[in-house]
Amino acid sequence: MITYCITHETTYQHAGQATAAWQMLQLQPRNESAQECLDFQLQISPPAQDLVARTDYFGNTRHFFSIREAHRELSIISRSTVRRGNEASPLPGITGPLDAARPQIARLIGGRGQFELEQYLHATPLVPLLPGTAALADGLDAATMPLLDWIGALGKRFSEIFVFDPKATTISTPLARALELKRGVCQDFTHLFLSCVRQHGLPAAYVSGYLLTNPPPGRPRLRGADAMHAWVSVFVPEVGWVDYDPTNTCFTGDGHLVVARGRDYADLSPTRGVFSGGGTHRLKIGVTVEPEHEIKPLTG
Amino acid sequence: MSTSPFISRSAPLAYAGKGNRYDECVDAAGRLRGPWSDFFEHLGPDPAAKLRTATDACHRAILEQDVSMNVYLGDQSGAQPWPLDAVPLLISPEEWKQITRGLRQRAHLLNEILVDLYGPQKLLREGHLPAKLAMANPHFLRACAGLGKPDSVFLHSYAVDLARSPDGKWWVIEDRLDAPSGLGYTLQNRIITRQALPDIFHRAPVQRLYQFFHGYRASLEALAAHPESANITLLSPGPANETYFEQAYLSRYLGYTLAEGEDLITRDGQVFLRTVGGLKRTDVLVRRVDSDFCDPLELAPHSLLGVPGLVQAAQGGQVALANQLGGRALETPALLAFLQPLCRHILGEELLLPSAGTWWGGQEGPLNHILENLHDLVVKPVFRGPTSAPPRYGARMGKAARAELADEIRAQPSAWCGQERVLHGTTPGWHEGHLRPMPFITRFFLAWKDGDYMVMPGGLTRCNPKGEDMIVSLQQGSISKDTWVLDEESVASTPSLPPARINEALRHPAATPSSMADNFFWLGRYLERCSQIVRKLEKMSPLIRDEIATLDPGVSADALRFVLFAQDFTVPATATLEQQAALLRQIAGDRTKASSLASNLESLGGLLDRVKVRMPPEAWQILRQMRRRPAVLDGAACSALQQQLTAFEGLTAEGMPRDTTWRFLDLGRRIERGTQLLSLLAGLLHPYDGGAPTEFRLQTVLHLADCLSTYRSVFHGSLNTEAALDWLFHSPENPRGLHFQIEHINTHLALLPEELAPQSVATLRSLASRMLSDVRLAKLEELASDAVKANAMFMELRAGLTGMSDRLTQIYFSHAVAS
Repeated sequence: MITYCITHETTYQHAGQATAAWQMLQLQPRNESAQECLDFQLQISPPAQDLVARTDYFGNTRHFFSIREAHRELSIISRSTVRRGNEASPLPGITGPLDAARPQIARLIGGRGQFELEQYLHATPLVPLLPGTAALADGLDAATMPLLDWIGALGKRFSEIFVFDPKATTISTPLARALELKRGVCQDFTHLFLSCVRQHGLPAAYVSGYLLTNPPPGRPRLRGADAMHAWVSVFVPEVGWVDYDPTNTCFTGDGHLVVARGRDYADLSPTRGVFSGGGTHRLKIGVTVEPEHEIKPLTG
Repeated sequence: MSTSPFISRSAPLAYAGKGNRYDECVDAAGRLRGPWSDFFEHLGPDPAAKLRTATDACHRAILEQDVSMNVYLGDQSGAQPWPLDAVPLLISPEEWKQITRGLRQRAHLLNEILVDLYGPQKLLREGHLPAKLAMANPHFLRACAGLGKPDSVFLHSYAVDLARSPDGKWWVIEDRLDAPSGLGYTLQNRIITRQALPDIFHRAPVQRLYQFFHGYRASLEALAAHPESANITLLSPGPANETYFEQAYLSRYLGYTLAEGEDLITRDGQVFLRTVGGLKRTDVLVRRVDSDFCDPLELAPHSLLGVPGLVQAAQGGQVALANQLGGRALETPALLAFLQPLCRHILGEELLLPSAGTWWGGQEGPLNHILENLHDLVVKPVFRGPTSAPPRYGARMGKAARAELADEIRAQPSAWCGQERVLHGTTPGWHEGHLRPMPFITRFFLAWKDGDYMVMPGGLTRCNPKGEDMIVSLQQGSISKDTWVLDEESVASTPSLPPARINEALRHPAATPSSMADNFFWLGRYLERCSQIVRKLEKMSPLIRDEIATLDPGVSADALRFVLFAQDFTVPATATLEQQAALLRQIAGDRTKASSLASNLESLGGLLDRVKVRMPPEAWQILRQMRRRPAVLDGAACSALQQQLTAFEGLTAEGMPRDTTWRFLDLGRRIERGTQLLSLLAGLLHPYDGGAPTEFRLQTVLHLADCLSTYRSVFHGSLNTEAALDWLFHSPENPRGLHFQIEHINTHLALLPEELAPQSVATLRSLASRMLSDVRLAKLEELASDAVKANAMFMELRAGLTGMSDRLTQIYFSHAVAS
């Protein structure tokens, strides 16, 4: 078990005076079998009024608040302490092939209880089901290969086809464009992966969270240098939800800290705001993830 | 005169049904059905003449009251007169009993399904509702999960379209569960039809609508935590919406504030209306904005129609919504395939009102049925969206097209439904001088009250005058008609109307919505601005006539330049007077120039559309005339415009209550008039070359300020600068003079509420009173002789007025100052 301290700083800088603001945040890490959110603090400036929290349809925590004073800059700092253990790595051998999984999933949805799986099989606003993404899994062995291996093999293909490039896309780049460019960031990798596996009959969810990145050997960890991360979670009948990180070509480990789960980025964008006045704004984001043992007490 | 029994059994005016369809008026043998035989008897010996007169009366009333709907037709989009046929649909008392039972059952059933869908989701968990219909449904709003509470109503207002099938049964065509429209039009249709057929209406025992509206109001109040003091607001998508007219009409009829998203804010889990007196809590929102657009924070992100934080406020339960958010999820034809079993499961009853047989492609058996019977079915996408395909009629498709459709369905079966084609029944309608059978559908309305649904005894009937088409849509040329539900015995002729209630905003100045005040303020400004430009245009032609222009050419040139400049246009110094005058006419009529007269008239029209409900009906007629002006504003067009604008000013002076909205209108007018006058003085009084103003110049200034004749009636002898300035600047008696404007501004400001920002309001008031004393104390002889000092003062006062306008905006309209 490792405990992490996460600082996530979001700043809106307006061209003019904003007279009021309303915000929704999805920044609080989830409590799940492999992780526990020990502490969560929000520091908002100018001071937030009426801060409240609600659990959403997917079990994520949403925070809401409004700002009533005129301001040019809104700063939201969230500090989370998360304890995360490494779940036992799934054993591919115990899973059946994709062809067998599909009818199993249909039975789970049609039978009692697991109807929610259905929502992870369809197109969503940010994840259109494109023929081009379905084709990414063409030729992979759906008849005999254990499903977890199939997912890993698809991930390996992703790493061969797509290049991580923070400059190639933005939040509003359509998926078809990212597919064409064969470049993008974790969000694009995740949406492309979702679009592919959903068309092959696997329920698949979008996960937003943090990833511990390690500085080059001998160099100190840079504060605020990171961003939020995203990966997929695929429903595998024998095992349940299995998280896979297509950007890093790996099943997730104890460095992947889950904040929220949903159908696509739009279900769980970390901050969503409406301003009264203020004109255009710039958004600055800085994330720092540190293992607790690295944080040294201040010495005088 | 008594009619023979034989004649009374068949329809007059050679009316006949259409054979394969059920007709409301005559049976298969051509004999009149009960209610219609009375109707025709009441029409008298010459029914055609009577119906012609009634039709004319309807058309007149529609135009007079400007009943309209916005039609989306590309370039020709815009408000169209509401299409209304004078011949009502008649429903017999026995039949009405059957219909209401079915409607109430259906409302209960749909409410239960919605409560479950947005609540415990047991129907999904237990498989009574297929997972795809919710989980793949773009209109199932996950942010609204939790709003379905077993002890509260989700579906407060329910509307449903019914039609007759050939066997004479009423069938459900479509349910409206989100933000149903039509109540206001139904009411309007009733009022107009009753006036067009007064004697017939009173002789037929027609059930009245007012009791329903009375109950409707009570039922909305009952949704609030404290019904006796409930503040109720109607949330509208605004004037561009196709049914904005009826939203405005309904809000006025019910006495509720008509608000748009920007008028409302959320705070501390509550919803508030932004008024000129501060924030006023809203307890119940009558929602006419589609759910998806209601909250940019949690629903469609870029919607400007919604209120940020509304979902969270609804979740907290401190505001009640009629309807609760998310009902559109069940507006899918696929649901119809499951309604009968759901009714048995939920209510333990058989479904009373059938819907057209529906097969959903998401199940194997029904899918095969669709594919095998394509030639006979209407194929519809399961979820409607902006890009979804229109319904397709198998019977009208060729073999190849059907095969293509079959492939489309096979590719994604659960996205498609097949529906049995029901030939809509017909009812008589008056069209082009004949009584014709027209296919129709009727929208009925229900509202939740005291644990049950009450049904409005009437409805909005729409029919297709062409008589053939299967599509009945007002957007596509159909016409509406009143629906008369007949009573068993005669109805009391003097209905007990609900007690009149005074609109709160009249007595409490602070209750005026900020946007309303804002609109009226700018209405005042644009009205004055347009009127000033038009008057100046009118006065231009004599000024540039040779004999006058040669008297003092500098004056004519300056005046022309000034009027052009007022429309933000500068001319090359080399242009001749004639060229400038031609340019002036061209600029004035040019809509693409931001400050032209035409653009200002557009802005004026736009504002009038927004405040329509608060204006006397003549205002709309004037507006219609104004919009019909020619593109080139010649002398005749200008004088017509001037007359229209003057009539309008008269209306605002005598046709409006002196409430806060009127005060803002007058403030706008006074600020604009003062500004225009000061611009005129700064631009024209003192010649650029520094000499003293000639008599012709003074005369021109007075003339352009519309003060020449009043000046002459007050001052005797020759014109001189000091006297002219006295009249234009100093005299409290001159309604077009500066003193008069500032004095009125002071009066209005003193009466506006100050709760919003007491300090800023106090500052504003002292600014206005300082301006008044500046005007009073100004030394006229100095202003008359020293051009530099005079112009500096004119500009300073003008800046003062601009500042005042900005301050008013910040304090009262945008709530941008807090103290």
